[in-house]
Amino acid sequence: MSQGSGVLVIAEQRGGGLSPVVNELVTAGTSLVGQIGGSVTVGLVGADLDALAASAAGIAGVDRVVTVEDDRLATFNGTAWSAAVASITGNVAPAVVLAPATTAGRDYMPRVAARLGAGHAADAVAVDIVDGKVVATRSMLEDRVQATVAFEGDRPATITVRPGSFARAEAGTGSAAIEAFDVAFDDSMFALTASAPEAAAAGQQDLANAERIVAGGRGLGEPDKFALVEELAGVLNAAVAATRPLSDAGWRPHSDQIGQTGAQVSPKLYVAVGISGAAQHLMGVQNADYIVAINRDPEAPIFKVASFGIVGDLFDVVPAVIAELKAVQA
Amino acid sequence: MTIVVLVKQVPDMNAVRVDSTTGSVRLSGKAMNSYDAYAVQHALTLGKALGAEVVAVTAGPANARDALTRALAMGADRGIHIELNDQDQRDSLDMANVFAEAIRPLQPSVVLCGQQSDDVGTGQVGPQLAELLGIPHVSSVMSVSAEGETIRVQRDTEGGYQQVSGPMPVLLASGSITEDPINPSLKGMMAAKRKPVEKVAAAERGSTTRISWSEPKAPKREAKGIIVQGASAEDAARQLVAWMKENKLVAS
Amino acid sequence: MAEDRLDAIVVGAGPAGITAARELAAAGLSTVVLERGQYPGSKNVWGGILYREPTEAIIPGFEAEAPLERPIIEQRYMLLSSDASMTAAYKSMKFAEPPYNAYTAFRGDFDQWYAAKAEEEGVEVYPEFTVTDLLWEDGAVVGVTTGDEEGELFANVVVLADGANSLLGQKAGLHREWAPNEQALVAKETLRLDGGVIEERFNLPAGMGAALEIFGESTWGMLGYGFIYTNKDSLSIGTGALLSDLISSGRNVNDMLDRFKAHPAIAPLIAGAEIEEYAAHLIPEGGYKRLPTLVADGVMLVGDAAGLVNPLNREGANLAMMSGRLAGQAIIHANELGDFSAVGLSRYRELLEESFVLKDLYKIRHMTDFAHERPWLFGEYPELLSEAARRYLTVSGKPKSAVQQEIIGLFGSIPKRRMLKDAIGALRAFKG
Repeated sequence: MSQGSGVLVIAEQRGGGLSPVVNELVTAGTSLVGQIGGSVTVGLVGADLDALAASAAGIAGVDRVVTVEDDRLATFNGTAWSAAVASITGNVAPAVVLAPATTAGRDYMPRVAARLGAGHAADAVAVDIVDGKVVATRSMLEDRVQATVAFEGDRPATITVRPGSFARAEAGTGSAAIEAFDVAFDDSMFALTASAPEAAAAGQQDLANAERIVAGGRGLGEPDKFALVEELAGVLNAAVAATRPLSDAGWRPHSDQIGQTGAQVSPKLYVAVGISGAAQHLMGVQNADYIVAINRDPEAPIFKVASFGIVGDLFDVVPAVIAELKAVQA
Repeated sequence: MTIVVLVKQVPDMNAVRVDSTTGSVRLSGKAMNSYDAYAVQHALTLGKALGAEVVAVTAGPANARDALTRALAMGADRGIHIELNDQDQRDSLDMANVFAEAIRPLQPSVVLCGQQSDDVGTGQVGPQLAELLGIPHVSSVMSVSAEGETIRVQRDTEGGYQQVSGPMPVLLASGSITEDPINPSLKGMMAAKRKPVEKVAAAERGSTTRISWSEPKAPKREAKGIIVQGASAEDAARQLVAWMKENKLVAS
Repeated sequence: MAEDRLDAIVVGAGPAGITAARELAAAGLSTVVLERGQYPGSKNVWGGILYREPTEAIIPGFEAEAPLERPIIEQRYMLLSSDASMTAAYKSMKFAEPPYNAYTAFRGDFDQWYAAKAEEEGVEVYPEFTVTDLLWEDGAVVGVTTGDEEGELFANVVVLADGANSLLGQKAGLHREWAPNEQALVAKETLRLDGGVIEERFNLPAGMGAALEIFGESTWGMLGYGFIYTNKDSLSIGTGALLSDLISSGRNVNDMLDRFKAHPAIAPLIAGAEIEEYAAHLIPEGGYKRLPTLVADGVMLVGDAAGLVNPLNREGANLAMMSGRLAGQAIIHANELGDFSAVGLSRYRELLEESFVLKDLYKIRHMTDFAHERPWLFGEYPELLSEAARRYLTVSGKPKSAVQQEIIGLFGSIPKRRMLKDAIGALRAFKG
């Protein structure tokens, strides 16, 4: 096991506040700390961190919050982030560092590991202690298989964790101490300038921010049948999306596409109509709070991740659901 | 000026066989890592804009040449094959070191690679290589262009696209874009066989073991939610809407 | 524009195409092989038997290097009626020691290995390129195209090794479309089964194999046969019939395979095996009498594309490889003459006639017609034989002479003239 102690969680922002994935990582951290001892520290990197630090300090299980603040850190920059996180890690000296397996997390964490000469496991779905070692479970081959990565040696175990893998620790209950760190940044780290992210097309914008999404897949059979998806979306006040095969076939514009190469969404409710749940598609919806699936094939992979699934003919079920929703909302 | 693009040969993702009883996995076939195909395209775009030589680099055993040949067929000028037989014993940092040692002498202005590999999908080598080379990196790159000495890229994030720009040298890790990568033409494939490929030995593996992997196995997946099967459409709909009300997903 | 003109282009990286290419490369002629599949062998199907001696003649020392499954030491013939089977088997310990007579093998593995070997010998093989058309100049074939402008390739000769139902052969005017009675359609599965279980079930020493050919119910009584071949840890099982018979009977070859697998004599042999792969393919059945024109200006046919298959003796790959070699030799000769017209390439046909390829096909030229004109051979006769055997073997209180009368009576239902004609026709067909 590493020479460090406790768990360091690196936070991420979303929509002006803390991303819920931070609460998930704190749960993971608390569980680990229960086995290896030490405390749970949340690290924040960015500009104007007061409100975020306060949120972090309030999450149940957090013992301490450290911040690295600099105006130049207002937009994400992998090179600078990795320097900051490596510095925090050096200071906090944890046994395990957890970051979200988001675009940002998977950008800076490997670099942090390289800086520290530490091992790294990316996109883990579980983290445990087995025989005194930190073990991360991750999937490969388009999510078809899983393998575990056990950390050896004395460096911290650095891991990015897939959002949705842990339950969310309660917010607004704690009051951990907040500490600011100074990191001496090399100017060369800011050689690249980045704009704030903005959605490419109006459609994608709707999807990225949508609270509810109804998506249609191959099970619909033909382009006209997509009207069912639109009608259900209308009744649920949801945005409309499609899987890649549908946009490739020209049924829907690419801006409607969800999946590994389409929009990454994190809605509260995601309804999958006639979608089998191939790995590439699921990667796009892993952040949804609730997934509802309607498919005629009981073996469809989507049922393994659905919060509520209906095995049946979508052409019977969807109209029935629309009717029931209208009745309830009347 | 030199642009380096890393390519990896992976098994054919369409030929993956999982044994339903033991959960063990059988791989076969060879293909170029799909993200690397985009990286090669980006490399060629920059090569044209900057008038730079594009060098494709791969690491692996003697028979792992297909990805390199394909990169040459797509238009790379020459190739470097880092011969390596103990990939199983090297973690991503070891691999990043192998690449760093091999490409440092070329003093590349831009290094491109795929965001992650189709088989293992860790996505670690790119940022780690950038750290070892001491240059900035940008991940999730969707498109590239060059304006004089400035590189501009579009980066994909959960919140939308970011425009990132800056001077060289820089490492760019390519994401996957919607259009399929260009297939090399027959002429390209034939020309590839005639382009120079240099064989170099891999850097020695360090003695530190940072991680150890278990045997990959297909997990027994249990459904974790409520599954309604065999009910009439109306019954199923009623159950669903009741559940949605319970979880405050619909106003009632 | 004749830019870099190659000496030869081979379309198809199967045994015929690769052999032709190797022959040319050995003589220093520039050769490119274009294969439409993802890798050589990916689109190819055979039952699964490779004969040692003919292969050794083409690829000396192949046994030590090629991916092979089991040497075959037993040949079993079965006749299936609806509820019974009759088996004749030949098993020889001589077959169980080197030099072996035949092996089971997989096309995907073998063809890939063979193509790689050819590449070591200087042949360039390009998979994932489909030749869509031939290029012409003054009535002669001068090259091929893969569809786009970047995909045109020129050569002195184009060798069409693109298999049964070669569309390019038709485009070259070498033959019209194959008629359904000139092709068989075969459906085949690879069933995964533990090697030890295979050895036990088929009664084989460790590492050895058996080949089973099964007639009658295996093909729903149609002309054709089913087969089971043992691989290291799988079974190749398949069945096929003449395409015209399938069409006229309205039957589906997949249903035929399912039915075959479910037969009480077959099901126990494959019990517990998991389906790993499925393939269906056409096999040329036209025989000697319906061979296409093999050569035209700048173009020639080899292997299945040339209809060079011996279904009676279950041989195809060895004919393919030999035809590839002879095509290569003919091209080398034409190259010396500087004449790639049909006349310059005519050596090919001569060499084929002198070799076992056309000699064997000539000998069995009456076979298909003989069998096809007699649908009762595979349907009615097996049932009669089965019933006769059942009666003979049933011990009852009946006197043997009465049983004998009954059995003779069974065959009495067959017209005597027909039986006589069948016997004479069979003699003629086998004798050649």
